[in-house]
Amino acid sequence: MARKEGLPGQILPGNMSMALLARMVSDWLPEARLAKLGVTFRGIVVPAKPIVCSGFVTERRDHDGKLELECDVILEQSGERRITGVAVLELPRS
Amino acid sequence: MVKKLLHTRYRVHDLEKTISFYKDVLGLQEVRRHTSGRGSQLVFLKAPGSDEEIEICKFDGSGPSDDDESARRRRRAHRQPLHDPSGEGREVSDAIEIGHEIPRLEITLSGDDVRRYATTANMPGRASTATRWRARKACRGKSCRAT
Repeated sequence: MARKEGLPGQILPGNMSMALLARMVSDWLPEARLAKLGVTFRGIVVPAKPIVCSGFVTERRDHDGKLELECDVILEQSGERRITGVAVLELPRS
Repeated sequence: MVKKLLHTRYRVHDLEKTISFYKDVLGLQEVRRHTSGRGSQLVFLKAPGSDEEIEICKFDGSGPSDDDESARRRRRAHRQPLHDPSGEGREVSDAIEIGHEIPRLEITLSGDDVRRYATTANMPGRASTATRWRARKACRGKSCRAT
């Protein structure tokens, strides 16, 4: 079905790739709430090839007594940035 | 009330790495080391001028010691706050600076993983992604709505 549409074969649904990025940040800070995840799909992500998700903190700010961390997140495959985006994490202050 | 501590024991995964941390970073002295009858390697350390000893033990025979993965799982289960890796006792939220790198997630998914996801990730009662996709395609150019 995917090939008929001119695709190279089976591809990852976009929300599955987003789920990988979400998993990366929730593995990193399990107590944080993922308040926002916005991405740009720049290329096709396929199965059977290694996927590398990475990211870094770009901004810290206080919001309603909570700490908000804004992070750039990236999903790479075959050395290309296939998905880029921004994740906002909310951490409770105790 | 505790009046005196004699000896604390930690079981570790990497003996030499741990010992060098206690000696080179914290400045403790190695007092003695030996291997017990059942095969556990023991190293005793103490601070200069103190009686209390820390015993570092490596004994693979009683299963793996805590590794990062099991600690992470436990932390998640109890929703405990993370500790600041710098050891300065700050809250983790204060320890994360701008530019801090998120630990990478490396994964290779199989075609089956994707198929399973595409059929189960949808909400109950909602048609699968493929079904909705086919429905939309069938509706293209017609005045019906695919949901």
